[in-house]
Formats: sequence, structure tokens, C-alpha cells
Amino acid sequence: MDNFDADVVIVGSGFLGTFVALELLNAGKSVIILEAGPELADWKVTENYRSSPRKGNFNDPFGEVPWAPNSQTKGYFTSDSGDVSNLPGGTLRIAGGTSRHWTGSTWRLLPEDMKLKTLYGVGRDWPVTYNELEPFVTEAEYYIGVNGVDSDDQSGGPYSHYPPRSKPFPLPPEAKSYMTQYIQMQLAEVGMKVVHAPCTRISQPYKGRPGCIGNNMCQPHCPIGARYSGIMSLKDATDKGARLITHAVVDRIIKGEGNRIKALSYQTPEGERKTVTAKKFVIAGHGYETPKLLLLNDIANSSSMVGRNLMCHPGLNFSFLAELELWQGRGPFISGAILDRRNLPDRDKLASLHYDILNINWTTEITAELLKRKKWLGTSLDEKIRRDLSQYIFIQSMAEDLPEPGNNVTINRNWKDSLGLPGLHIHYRLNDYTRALKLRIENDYANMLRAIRGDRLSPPQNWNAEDHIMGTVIMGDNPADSVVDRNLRTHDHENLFLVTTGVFPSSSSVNPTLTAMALAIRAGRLIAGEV
Amino acid sequence: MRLLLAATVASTFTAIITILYPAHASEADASLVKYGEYLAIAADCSGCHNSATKGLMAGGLALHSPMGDIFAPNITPDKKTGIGSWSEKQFADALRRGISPTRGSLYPAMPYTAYNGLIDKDIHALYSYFMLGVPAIENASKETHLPFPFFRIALPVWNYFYNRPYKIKVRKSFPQLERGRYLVDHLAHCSTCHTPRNFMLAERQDAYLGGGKVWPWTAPNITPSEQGIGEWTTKDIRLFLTEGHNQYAVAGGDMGLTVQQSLSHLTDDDIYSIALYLKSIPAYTNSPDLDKDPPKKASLSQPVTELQFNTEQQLDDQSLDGSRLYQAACSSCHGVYGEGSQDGEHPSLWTNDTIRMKQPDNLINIISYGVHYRGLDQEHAMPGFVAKLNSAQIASLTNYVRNEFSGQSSQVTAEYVKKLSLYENNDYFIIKYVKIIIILAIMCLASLITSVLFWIRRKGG
Repeated sequence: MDNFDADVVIVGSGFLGTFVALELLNAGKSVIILEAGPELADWKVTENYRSSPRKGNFNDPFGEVPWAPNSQTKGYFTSDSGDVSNLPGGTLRIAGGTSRHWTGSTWRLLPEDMKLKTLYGVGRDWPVTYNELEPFVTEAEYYIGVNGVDSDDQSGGPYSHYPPRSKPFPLPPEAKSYMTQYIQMQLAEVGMKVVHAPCTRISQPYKGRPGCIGNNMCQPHCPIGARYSGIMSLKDATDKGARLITHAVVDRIIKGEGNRIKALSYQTPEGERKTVTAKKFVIAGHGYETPKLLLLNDIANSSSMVGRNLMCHPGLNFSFLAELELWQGRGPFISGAILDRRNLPDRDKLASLHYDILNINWTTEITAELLKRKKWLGTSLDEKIRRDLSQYIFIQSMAEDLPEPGNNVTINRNWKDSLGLPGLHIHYRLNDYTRALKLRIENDYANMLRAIRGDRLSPPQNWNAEDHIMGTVIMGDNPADSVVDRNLRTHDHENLFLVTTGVFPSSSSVNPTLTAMALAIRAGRLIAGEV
Repeated sequence: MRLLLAATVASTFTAIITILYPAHASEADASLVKYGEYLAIAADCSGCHNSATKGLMAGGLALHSPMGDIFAPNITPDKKTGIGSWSEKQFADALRRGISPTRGSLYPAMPYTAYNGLIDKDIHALYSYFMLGVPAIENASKETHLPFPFFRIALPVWNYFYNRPYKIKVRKSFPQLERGRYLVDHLAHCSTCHTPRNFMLAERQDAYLGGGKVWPWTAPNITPSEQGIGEWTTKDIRLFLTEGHNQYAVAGGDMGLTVQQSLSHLTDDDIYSIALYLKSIPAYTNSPDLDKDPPKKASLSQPVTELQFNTEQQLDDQSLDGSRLYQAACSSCHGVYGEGSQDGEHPSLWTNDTIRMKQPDNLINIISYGVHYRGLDQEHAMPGFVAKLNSAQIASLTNYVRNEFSGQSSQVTAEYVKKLSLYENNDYFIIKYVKIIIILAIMCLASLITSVLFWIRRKGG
């Protein structure tokens, strides 16, 4: 028998890599986790955020290192995305992964979201069904702690308790702020229903974590740990015996006999090369970093789908001043959602869509805006900032886009990091299916404006991508048009698994993390049974 | 008339039946069992005897004593592995005298030195509860094996000297005070943790409730002295016992669990009696370790640290600057100025007993492990920082908090923090020197025997 460095080597120390690791460790297997970036203590992130003037840049408090460039590194990403802004979005390479600055939204997919082709004739179906995945979704919810309202219909319809759950939410919803209550009441008059947005910004203590007390900086970083983050599951994994190697930039995948993967090779910041062997390998990098590693090595790409089918939840955002002082920014970042457009019968023509009512303190943005207009100074400026802030409302929309091979991420060899590794280029065009929503969204916004008696501030203009990268190593039953199978195993390599939101065959219109966690737990358990 | 007679006969008959077969008097039993359950909660039996996996009173919890782990046995009425075959007399002996029919002498981790004052009526209720109200669970709990010389056989000698009730004189004998004394001294066994122990690990009669050590925590002085809870009103005490926190203190460590499992479930009358009693016992002031600085006047002039960053500074999380650590890790809940939250959920650091205490142990423990318990209607949590900050950072933070909010000059070192976190306590005379004493005793004995032998031989020769 060969000697292996570990049973399984996992690339990436974010949520998904550590969730796989935990399954393996619970089954008594040995695990090495390779992380390109550094470790950084939570207290330091809080300090960095508070003392940085770059409040809107969620990557900023996490610093950056030249051997693990991320979305804020100059030149690392180039993009050509037409009228869609905010690509590539925010990505981190640090112990704990990009989840270090996620919002903590934990939506479930609907059974319909996973059968888009069958039911509506667009996009792709998932090779796994909702019922198959449901127990793992529940496990993830109970592991991280999720607030929610059991009786809500999250498909926006008139029903209750949908999608079906095998267990109730582990935690009750947080208290509604005055703003949420007011908006809920006003929007009801124009027939829109504001429901609670499930999240892991926990409403009361759970597993030693304190409940949310409304610091209102969920992004980039909860200063008290009420919002779950990958650094917590990573700590669980290292406590259970996972070996974490930071500053390990994996750039080579070494093939052995029979298309099996033999080893991974990584560089240290000084450029020293090291190799690790294992029985199975898991790449749990970001939706951009995972295809990058595969493309660099021409691995798992017999379908030529690696890096393609990029989906990113484009949406149109809208902000205005309400007539009343509603004081946005009390409590957690998202206080309610409107799901009325999530699963309508015309989904064959118009994409699924949901609105989030954001609840953020926008002092920096509003001050910058007012300074630009050069109308106010001194106390009158203070007074104006205070007034605008108290009335400011921000609604964000998130739409489903379709997996189209033309929307892709590719290697950009014109840029190099400190280890000589290339940058990435993104090509994205909004498809007509999603673009057709514009009228519906504008119509809805006009109704909201009327119901809340708003003063128009900035009408929706550009489509805005979310940081939810999906589709880039797409999952499917057919090896000719997909990269991984229903168990996240690559079609080409029996012992290589990709655990990332990049496997999503459809994007739905809700945040992908919880579903990805469920996929990770499911894959982790399968791998544990095989090694 | 005939009807009345018949009714009288019938009721007399019923009464006789009830007396002859008390087991069938289910109504009386139910209230007795209920009362027994209340007593078991007040005595916090489940605090040690519950098993997280097997269930109520099924045993198995390890108590880390300085001599080694002592395991709480199964006390469900299971006949094989529990106490199902015990008579009430045997049950009473275990509670009051520390003698079990199966194990022999119990280690005083079982607080029989407190339970020794339980009245017969309460023993009977407790016995009824354990036999009828607790489901029998078969679970062979682990046997306790302490190293020589802490064998069970040595315990009767210890009991002869130390299993004696306190003789505390309360000023006036209100019934509430007597009830409070009964609860504090016997049922709730407060002195088990809060009275310091002597060289033989027995509670010191002269330092009643004057502050003990439950490694790594310090159970504070709870007498009405300056070192203790002299500033507290009965309302403060009641708040603390039911909610787990008041303006002076938060129930850290095992006290949090005691509030959660026991004290928060007691009747308001009982809690009031405890508070009143604690206010009337002799004030103990002889533990300089537990001295507290007078509260400092809150100051809002504390500047917020202003910092400029480059990437290198951003990634350096090893700083030992207590003020920066406080602002980043603590101020989100306790306030930039340590003022706490208005609703008292996040304590103000200016009035806090834990910070004002000369001895830093509890503050270090709270920073390291946090606070976790459920009060009357709400879960409370402060996260622990032991995995997020290193020992030197915890030391700096401790020093900063004590200097800033209580005005003491605090000199806690990283080594001290590390030592405390290792749960190693060898400070008791009997544990520290037991081996030396035994060796000395054996050497003395050996030399004595040798001399005697010499003497005999010489005489014989």
C-alpha cells in the first residue's frame, strides 16, 4: 500500500471545505486543509473595520497578501460584463474563506428551483431532488443556528410551511424593527407581503455564541460572533484534529494512473514547492478559484464546461427617502424580504426574483453623496445627514440568471501574482430571460414608493451582480455537459471532488450558501464512507 | 339518617384503607413527590447526577477534584445500577452521613456535610420523589478510584472531625431567617463552594461563606462585608439568584448552571429568605485576596484608539495593547467606555465585583470561557476568548480592564493565565505534602522499628 499524507486533502478552509472536513473527522479519517491565505483573529478584523475609512469595501478589513490575491487586488480580476456592475464581487482568500464577510442569509431552495427545465422549460434541472437534500439542509441549519418562521410560505404564494421542512427552525425570528413593521404594514396595502428573511445572525444564544445585539455590521464582520462564519467551523475542524496549513497556494494537480489524482502541489509565499498525497482530494475553493485551479492543470475539463455557465444573481436596486423617520440600521442587515415574485406560473418567460429590505446604516455613503452636491456645510450638513439617514430606504432585488456557457471565467496570463500565477478574466452578458424582469421590477418599485410615500432618490439603473458565484463547475448527470456528478465527484477523476457554489446547475433567486452547506455535508459523508 | 350513617361508615373505611395502604393514596403521593422534586431542585441534585446522554439523575458526570476525578453515580430508582433497592433509612444515611449501602463511605464531593441538617419530613419527600418521580434508567456509572491515600476507608475518620453542622447565630429569629438558614446551609449547600477549606479539605467553621475556591474559579465571599456582598440589597441578591446577574456581578462558571438548574426555579419566598439570611450572617473580612477596590467613578473621557493601517498592520493580530484589544473584542457589548447596556444584559464594568476583586482569577476565567446559562426566561451568553486570543493577550486585556475600570494596578502575566487554564490546583496542604508526609511517617516508623530491634538484640546479647 502507498503511504498517504492524509486520507483526504481539502483545498480551501471556508464553510464548504470545513463542512466536508467535519464529516471526515467525525468518521475518524485524517484530513489536511490547505489554505492559500493567512489566519487573522476576529478582534483584529473588528479593529481594522472600525479604523478604516473604506467602510464600503468588505474585503478591506481582511488585508491581502501578494501570494493569495483576491477581488480587491489591483489587476487580479478583469471583467467585461456589459451593463452588469459589481463583477467579480467580493472574494476573500483567508482562513475561514469568503464566509468571513458574508451577510448570513440562509434561504432554502424551493423544490421548483431544482426542476427548472422540467417545470418551466428553461435552464437546467438539478440531478438531486429537494427531498434528497432536505435532511442535510436541516443538519446545516442546526449546526450553524438559523432564525426563521416555520409557517411562512417562502415561495411567495398563499400557503404556509413551504418549502417543506423535516424539523422546525432551530431558533425563533429576531424582533422586527420599527422600520420593518412600518414597511410591512404599508406594502400590505398594495398587496405585497414582507416575510422574515431566515438567517444565521442568531436571535438568541446558540452553542456558546451570543445573540445579535444590533451592532449592524453583519458585513463585513460581526464583532460579537452572532453571525456564523467559516472561522467557527474551521475551529471545530482543527479541534477535531484537522491539520490546517495556511500560506499554501495550491497550483498543481498531479495525475496518476487511470485518471486518478495522485497528489496536489503547493507553493509557500517564498516559492518553496511542497507536495501532499491522499486517497481523495476535495477542492472547496471559491466559485472563481476552483475553476482557476482546474483550468491551470487542464483537469476535469473533458466537457470543456470548467469556468463556464457563470451565474451571479443580477438585480436592480432602489433607494429613496421615506416620508417618515424610519431609522434604518437598527438590528441585523436584512430585516425582511418580499417573495411574491419568487415562483410565479410565468416563470417560463420571466425569471424568479426576490426583494430584500436592507437595514444598514449608510452614514458613509450618504455623507459622500451630500458632499458631492456641495450644498450643505457645517451644522446644516450634520442636520441633513441625520435627516436623510433617518428616512433612507434601500431595497435590493436578486434575480435568477441562467447557466449559459458563454458567460465564463478564464485565465488571464497578462497578470501575475508574487508566485507568478496568472489572474482571471470574467465575461458576462445578462440574458434576455432575466433582463425581461426590468419592467416588473420597476413596476414593483413604483408601487413600493407609493405605499411608503417615498421621495425618489436614485432610480434603478444598472444591473448589479451579487457576490454569489455559481455554475462555474456545473453539476449534472451527463459527463458531456457537466463537470461533477450528483455527488460532486468529477466525471473525469474518480477521487476528485469539487465542493463549491460553482456546482449549482441553477441559481434560483436566493442566496446559495445554505444549500451549498447541505451539499458539502452530503458529499463529506459519502467520501468518508469511501476512504 | 341511615344515609348519613352509611356515608360515615364509607368514609371511615376509606380513611382506614388510606392509612393501611399509603401507596394507593395517589393524591397525597403526588403532592409529596412534587414537593420532593422541588427539594431536589433546591438541592441541585441534577447539577452533578444528570447525564447529558442517559437522562435525569442517571449519573456519570465527572467532578474534577484536586485528588482526581470523582464520578457522580446513577441515583435513579433502577434496582441494578441505581438506588432502587435502598430503604429510606439507607437513603437518609447517604444524604446525612455520607454512607452508601453499596459503596461504603462517600467522598465529600457529595455535599453530605451540608445535607446533614435535612429534616426527616424533607428526607421522606426526597425519597418519595426519587423512588416514584424519577424514571428508572439502567446505566452503570463509572467507579471513582482516587489514588492512595484518598481511599474510602479513611473517610470515617475525616467524617468524625468534619461532618458537623455550622453553628451560626442569626440576629433575630424571624421564620424567614430560619428558612433562609435551612436553604443556605442544608438544601442549597452554598458553603460547599463559598466557604474556604482547611488543610484537610474541610470547610472552615471560622470563615463561614467567606469565599472558597472551585478551581479555576473563585466562589466569592457572600457574607455582608466589604469583601462580600455588603453593598447588595436583598433585591440585588434576588435578581442575581433568579436572573443570574445584577449591577455588581454575573453568574460565571458553575454558578451560572446553579442559577439555571436550581435557584431560578425556587419560589420567590424562598429566594427572599435566602437573601434576607445572607444579609444577616456575620460579615467575614479575613480574605485579603477577595478585597475589593471601592467603585471608581465612571469616566467617559477614555479615548477611542485611532489607528492608520497598511496591509502589514492589518494582518498583525498579535498586539498586546490592552486598550486596543478591549475596544475590538469587548466594546461592542460592554460599551466604548465600559458603561454596559441600559437593560443590564451587558454589565457595566465600573460597578463590577469581579473586576474590583484583588484576585484576578474570575475575570481571567470569564474572559477565557465566557458566561453561559439560562435565567428565568432567557438564555445568556458571553463568548469565551480562550481560542481567539493568546495567553499574553488575555493577560494584557485583564490588566487593562482592571486598571481602567477599578483603578487597581494589575500585573497578571501570561504564565499566570496559562497556569489557571490548565485546571491544576495543588495548593491544598494535604494534596501538596501528602506524599512527603507518608514517606516521613514510613521512615520514622522504620527507624523506630530498627531501634527497637537493636535494643532487643543488645539486651538479648
